[in-house]
Amino acid sequence: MSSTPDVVAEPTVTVRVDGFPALDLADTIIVHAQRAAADVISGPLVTAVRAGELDGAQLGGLFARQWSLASLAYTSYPSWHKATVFGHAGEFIEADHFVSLMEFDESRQERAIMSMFRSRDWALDSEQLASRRWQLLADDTVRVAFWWRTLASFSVPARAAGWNLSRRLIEHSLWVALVEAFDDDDITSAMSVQRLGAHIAMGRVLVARYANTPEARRECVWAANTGIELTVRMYREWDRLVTGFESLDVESEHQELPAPPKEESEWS
Amino acid sequence: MVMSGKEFRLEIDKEYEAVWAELDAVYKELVSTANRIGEDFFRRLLPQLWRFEANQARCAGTWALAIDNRSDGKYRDLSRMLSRQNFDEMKHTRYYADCCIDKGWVRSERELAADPYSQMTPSWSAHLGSMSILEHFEPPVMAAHQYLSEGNALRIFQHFAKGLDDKRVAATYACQETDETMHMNLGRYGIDKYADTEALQEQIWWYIHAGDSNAKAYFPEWMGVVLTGDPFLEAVAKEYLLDDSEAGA
Repeated sequence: MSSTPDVVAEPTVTVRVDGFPALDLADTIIVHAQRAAADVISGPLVTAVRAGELDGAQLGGLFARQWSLASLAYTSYPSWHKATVFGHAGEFIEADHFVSLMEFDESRQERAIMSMFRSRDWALDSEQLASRRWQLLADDTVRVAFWWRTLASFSVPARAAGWNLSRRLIEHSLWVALVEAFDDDDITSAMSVQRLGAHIAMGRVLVARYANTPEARRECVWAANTGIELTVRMYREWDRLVTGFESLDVESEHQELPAPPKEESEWS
Repeated sequence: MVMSGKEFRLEIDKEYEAVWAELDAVYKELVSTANRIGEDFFRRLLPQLWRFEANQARCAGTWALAIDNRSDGKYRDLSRMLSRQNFDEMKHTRYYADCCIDKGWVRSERELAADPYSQMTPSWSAHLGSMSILEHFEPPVMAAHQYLSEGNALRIFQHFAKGLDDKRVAATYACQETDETMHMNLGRYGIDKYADTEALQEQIWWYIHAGDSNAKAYFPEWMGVVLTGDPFLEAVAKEYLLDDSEAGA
C-alpha cells in the first residue's frame, strides 16, 4: 500500500478566511436572506401573534405546519447524507457531520411540537397530526418541502446556499420574533431545540469553503435565490392561512444576488 | 400460535447465549493481544473504525428513508431513534479521529480519508452492503440486526474500555458505551413491539442465519490487517475465525 499522502492540515475549530475562498459569497447570501426575513417578520402573522389575536385553531394550524415540515426531514436529510460523496482527500467531511446534526435536531423539534399538541387545546390532537400531515401543506409549503429533498441532487455548497443560508435563516429570524411574541416557556423550549443558528453557521462554513469554482458559485447563487423566493412565498401563504387574512400586496424587496464574475482572473 | 415480539426476542436470546459466551472469550483474548502488540494495533484499527462509523451513519439514514410516512404513524418511533443513531455514529467518527490526531498518527480528520488503514477490507465492505440492503426489508428485520450487531459492538467496547493498557484508546471506547446501548435497545424495542407475525419472525431468522453471513467473514479478515499490518493475511486471521458449530448458530 502507498504511504499516507502529504495532506495540508485543515483547522478543526477556528474559522479563518484563509481556506474559505467564498466567504464573501456566503456573507452576501446571508445579507440578502436577512432582508427577505425582515419582510416576512413585518407580515400579518407576527403582527397577529404580538397582538395575541390567534385562537387555538389558528395556533394549531401554525404549529401543525411547522411540525409537518420537520417531519419531512426524515427523507430529506438522509438523502443529502447519502448523496454526499466521500472524497479520498477528505472533502466534505464537515458536511457529513453537519447533516447528521441537523437531522437529529429536526427530529427533536418534531417530537417537541408533537408533545405540545398533547398538552394544548389546539384543535388537532397528535393522532390527527399524523394522519393529516400532507393535507396541512398547502401549495407553497409543499414546494419548500420538495425543494428540501431536491437539494440532494445538488452540490454540497449549493445545498448549504439553498437551505441553510436562505430558507433556514429566514425561518430562524421568523421564529426568534414569534417566540419573543409568544412569551411562553413551552413554545420557547420547543422551538429552540432546532438550533437554527447553528445550522446557519454550518451553511456559512460549507459555502465559504467549497464554493471555490465559478460553476460552484453560480450554482450557489441560483440555489440561494430559489431558496429565498420559495421561503418568502411559503410564509406569505402562512400569513393568509394561519391568520385568515386575504392575499397581501406586500412586495418583496429583496433583489437578485449579483452574478459571479465571468473572468477567472477576477476570482481570488 | 404466533409468538409476541418479546417472546420471539427471548428465543433469539436463548440461541445467542452460547455465541455471546464464545465472543466474550474471543474479545478478552483480543484485549491481551492488543496490549501485547501495543500502539501499532490501534494505529491500524482506529482508522478502519473511523470510516466504518461514517458508513454506519449512512446506513441509519438509509434505514430511516425506508420507513414510510404512514398516516397511522407506525414505525415513526424507530425513525426518531434512527435520527439519534445517525447523530451518534458521526460523533463516534469524531472520537476516533480525535484519538488518531492526539496520538500524532494524522494531523487532521481529512488525512484519514486517504490513510492506508482506513481503506475498508473487502469483507467489511460487503458487510456494509448487506446492512444497506436492510432498507428493503420491513423495519423489524432492521431492528433485529441492530439488536445483535450493536449488542456485539457493545461487548467489544466494554472489553476494550476496561482492559486496554492504553488509557487514551480505552477512553475512546468507554465514551461510546451509552450510545451503543441505546442502539442495541433500539433493536430490542423494535423486535418486542413490531416483530409479532410469523412472516416477520421467519424473515428475521433468515437474516440472522444466512443473510448476514458477511458479518462472520469480515472479522477475521479485518484482524489480519490489524494484527500484522498486512491486509487479508488469512493465516493469522484464522486464529480468530468463529466456527459456526462452536457458536451454535
